[in-house]
Amino acid sequence: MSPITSRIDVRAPAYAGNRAAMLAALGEIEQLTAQVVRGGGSGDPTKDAASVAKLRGRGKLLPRERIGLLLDRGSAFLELSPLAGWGTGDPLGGGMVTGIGTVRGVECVISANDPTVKGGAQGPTSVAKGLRAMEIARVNRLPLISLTESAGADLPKQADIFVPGGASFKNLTRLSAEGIPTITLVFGSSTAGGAYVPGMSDYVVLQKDAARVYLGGPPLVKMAIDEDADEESLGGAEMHARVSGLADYLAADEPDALRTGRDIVGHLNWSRLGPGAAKAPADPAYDVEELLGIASADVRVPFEVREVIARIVDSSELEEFKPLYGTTLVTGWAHLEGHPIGILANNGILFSEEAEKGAQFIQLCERHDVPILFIQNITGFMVGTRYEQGGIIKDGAKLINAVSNSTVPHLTLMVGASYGAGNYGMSGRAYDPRFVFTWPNHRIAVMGPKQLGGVLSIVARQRTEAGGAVFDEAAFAPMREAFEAQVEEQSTALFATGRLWDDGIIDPRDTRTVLGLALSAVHSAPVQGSNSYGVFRM
Amino acid sequence: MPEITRLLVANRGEIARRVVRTCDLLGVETVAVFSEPDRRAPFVDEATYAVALGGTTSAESYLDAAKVLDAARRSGADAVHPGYGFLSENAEFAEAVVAAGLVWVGPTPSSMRAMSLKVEAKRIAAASGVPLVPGAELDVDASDDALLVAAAGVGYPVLVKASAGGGGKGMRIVRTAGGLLEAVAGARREASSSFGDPTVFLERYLERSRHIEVQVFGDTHGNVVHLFERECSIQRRHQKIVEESPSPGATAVTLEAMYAASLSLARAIGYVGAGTVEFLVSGDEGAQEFFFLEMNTRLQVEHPVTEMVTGLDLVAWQLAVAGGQALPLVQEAITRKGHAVEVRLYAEDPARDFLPGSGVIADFSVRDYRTRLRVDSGVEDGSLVTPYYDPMLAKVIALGRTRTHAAQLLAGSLRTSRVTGVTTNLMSLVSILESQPFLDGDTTTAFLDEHPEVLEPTLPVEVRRLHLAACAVALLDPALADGPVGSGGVPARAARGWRNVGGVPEVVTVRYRDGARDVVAALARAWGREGPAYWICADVDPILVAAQTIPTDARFERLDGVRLESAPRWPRTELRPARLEVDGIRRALRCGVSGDRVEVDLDRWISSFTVVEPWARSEHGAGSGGPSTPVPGTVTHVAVAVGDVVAVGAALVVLEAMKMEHTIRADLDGVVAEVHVSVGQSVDAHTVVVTLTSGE
Repeated sequence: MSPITSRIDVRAPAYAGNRAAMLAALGEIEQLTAQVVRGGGSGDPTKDAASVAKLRGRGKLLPRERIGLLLDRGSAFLELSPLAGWGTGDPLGGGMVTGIGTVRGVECVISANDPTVKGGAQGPTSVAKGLRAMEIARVNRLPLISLTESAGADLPKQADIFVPGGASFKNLTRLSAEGIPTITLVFGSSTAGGAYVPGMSDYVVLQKDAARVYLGGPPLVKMAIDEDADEESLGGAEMHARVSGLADYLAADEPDALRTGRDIVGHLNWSRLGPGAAKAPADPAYDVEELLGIASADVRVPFEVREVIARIVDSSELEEFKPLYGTTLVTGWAHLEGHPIGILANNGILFSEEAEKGAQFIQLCERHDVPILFIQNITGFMVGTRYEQGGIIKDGAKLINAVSNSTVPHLTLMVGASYGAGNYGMSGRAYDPRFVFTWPNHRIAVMGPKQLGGVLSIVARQRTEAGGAVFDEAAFAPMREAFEAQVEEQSTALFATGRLWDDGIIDPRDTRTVLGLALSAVHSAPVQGSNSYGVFRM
Repeated sequence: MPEITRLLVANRGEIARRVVRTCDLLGVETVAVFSEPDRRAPFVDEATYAVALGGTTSAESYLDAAKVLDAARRSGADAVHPGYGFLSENAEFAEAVVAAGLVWVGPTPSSMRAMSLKVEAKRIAAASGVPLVPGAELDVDASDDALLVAAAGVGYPVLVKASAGGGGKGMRIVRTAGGLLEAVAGARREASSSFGDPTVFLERYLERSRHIEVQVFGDTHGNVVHLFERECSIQRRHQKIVEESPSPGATAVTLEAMYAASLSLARAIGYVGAGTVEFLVSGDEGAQEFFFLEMNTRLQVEHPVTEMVTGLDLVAWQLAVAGGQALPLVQEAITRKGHAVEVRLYAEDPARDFLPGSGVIADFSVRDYRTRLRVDSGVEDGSLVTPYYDPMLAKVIALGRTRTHAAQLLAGSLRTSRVTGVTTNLMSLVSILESQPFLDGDTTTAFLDEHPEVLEPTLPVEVRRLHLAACAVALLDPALADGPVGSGGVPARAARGWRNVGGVPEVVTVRYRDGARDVVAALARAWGREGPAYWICADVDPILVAAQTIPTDARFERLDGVRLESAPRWPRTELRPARLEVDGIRRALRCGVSGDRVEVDLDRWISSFTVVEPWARSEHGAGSGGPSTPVPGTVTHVAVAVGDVVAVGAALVVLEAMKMEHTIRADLDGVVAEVHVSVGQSVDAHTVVVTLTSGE
């Protein structure tokens, strides 16, 4: 097999323009990420610094520092959805750090409250992010370690979290029922509903003189039963270690709690059930840096997806399947960091041939138990009389049927547009891919803003003209523009990641590493295809 | 006298190997004896025969004369060489050897006995015209006043010494009358417990004096010669660590007088074999005096110094004399050439009051060089250093054209040597040899008191920086250390502590030795677009560093473009050549990673780093709130009261519950601060019964 031949011209103005646009977008993301990392969550550097100083003053560590000490030395941490909450009014990042890292040689999902952000109180973003972390733990069979220190519910937003948030506790026990260990280390408050996080975990480590775990604190107890009780008696670590038995381990301090957490993972007798990498990894033949200039800054400008593949797969080698048929969908076999994968990647709009080719290719991946990487740059399925009459609905349905019932792990990478049913056919978020990562130039919507605006305009014209009036194009223009702008705003990568439609925006240059880590994680669970599909409409 | 054909070496370690080496050359078979811990020691394998003595401590093995004699009988040995230490100066043992019909390679028991008691030795020395340090003998029951009068007669500062024994045991320096009585009492106690004899004596303490000794040799034909002097002034805790010949400080006149005095003493006691007459020499050119210290009736540790400058084999001489032959050379035929310096490499920590170390020596390679550098070692790779015996690992001896040349050779040998697994005084020795006072020959017995800094050399700033940089990469880049991660692993780049969300460096703290102190350094690495950036901080305390503050923490130095290249796989146990690039400059080094340990050898310095886990200073599990009741019950007994001092495990309170007695015990050494229960009281489970405060 020979490497993909790259044909990009790094001196072309288009390349330079794309690169500049990508770097600008990355700059913005980097700035937002730095804001999350510094803690505080207020968006105001001075206030944030004060929150952090307060925490440090109590000898406590920030969540990423706790995670750093928990992880094996020199091992990676793939942080998920760092910018969750963007544009929602919630603190950026949701006051929570989630990700995948290695503890005592075991890949785990780690979820840590950031006590500098509203005292670690849980808002809608925190809840969604926590649920997503549990989902990742469940589907990939990864032990879950919670580093807990939370003021509880973000009370002003209680209406948004009370009902969905309850799933957290159900999920914990379901993970346990599935044999996926759940470990909670409590460094501070974990009260009221939060008390069920340790309550529902397999292992509970409480930090002495710091952890407070109770259903009701002193004021509530006073109100409810007129009892004067102190915090230690209600929920102190010592009390839980000696009296209630909620704590399985009593830790002397934060490092000791983290050591205990590591020791617990060490005795889990854990092994990965997937086959793992099939061969030694080999770097791509091309410079990963060039990914910055490949993806079009304007999603309406097509680009060759093989150029992307050439910079993320081992040795840039892709064994293409049906290269001459259904050419706007590239399918083929490759290795990524040694892991065998099947790839479906868009090189334009989907036609019937592409849909059928994709459905067939997915079935082959299922047969061979090979995880699938979907690379989305899709503006949708083809429309028009010819295609409708050609049965494009039936063919698209075949692809969606295959995607939906496929059981090998899916990884979805958004490198451009993700519009319409193309999103579904290419294993968009609703199709439960194990991970979804996006590039900063990514756009996601039911269709492109211009098309939507145009459609809106046409529908308005029809309605007006059906009523016998004359449609005033100029008068409608501001409304159309405002709508287009709204769609544009709601289809950006930041908007999407803010709502947890993905697991994070990544730097294109990190794609291979991120996907490699994700592939490694999915192999913690068995990798098994299915042979069970819905009825294929012929 | 019969010729020696099979020699039992009643010793261990380097001296046993040393004796075996000469025997091999002379065609004499050897018998080693060994204790249990020495079962795998090199000297055991190198002897023709080896006999287990059993036992662990010296008393159970090498000091057990009956066992050694039995080994000689069973192995058919016809002679016994005692080496130094152990039974080498034990006249009864020598007599027993002779009585068993074996040849004793050493002086006659009577001369051993004469010289072994210091007071007696001095009497004989004085009678032979050997000058003595002003001193006074003390009766065991002398009154305090008598002690003070005696000391005033000797003149302060005085040294209180045990009459029996040596090695600095029981020795005290007293500078004024105020400290005398206490020092005498202390010395008596120590002498009594070490030697079974509380007799002590006083002598003038000569400050800034030199320890110079004369090697003498006698035979059974009445010949006595000297083999020049050795200066052994540099001592730690009254034990020599650097020895040389010729003495850099003694004048020719002094030396001639010392040779003559030594020969006179040896003749006076009819000395046979190798012996050493030790002197203190004070004053400088023009007004030099020397005083008799003692005579050692054995081969000295430092005899190779004499061998190097004279080209003679002293063990061969010992065997010849013991075999009844005349001395191989007459006095006029004995000459010396060049300058020899010996250092003693010890498993000890110079920064912690020379605390002896023990453990497995991971690597032992000390550079020798033809006839210029000699290594007499008792250990090799994998040898076990036990706490049961003297922790000396090796002697390294250099023969130079000049004294400076010898010091250079020796320092160079040590700097390129590698001794790992136990803490040694290696760099202290280098530092002494390279120090200006040493090179100036300003060596007195106060050398280390006057120049304590030489014991604890600190890494030069730039060397420290590069060592830390190499250590940082080696530890924080395990992908480099482990090579490509195997199947099922994570991506190679990702395995190198990669983060998609930057800004929080990964931190590792390591402990290393920098001069006097065990220092904790923090190393950090963060991923950036240009690759990883490293930060180093040579000295952090406390060890838990806030990762997010490192980029702006002034104590940390940022290093960019740090690269370390080695073989594809880091060696596990040995140092391998590698290249380190910092600031665009590549440096060759040797580096090894083994679990939590990193060793870096760069710029003639070797640093050993050990990871300090972030929880190293945390208690393991939280301490308890105090000893508490395991079950509900009735208190039947309270064993302690407030103020009592208790040790871990001491019974505090007895509880009767379910017809069973439960004793609640102290969980720490401390003092009872509060007693919360009384007899007859019913208590719940988990009731704290006593509050203890830590005794610290």
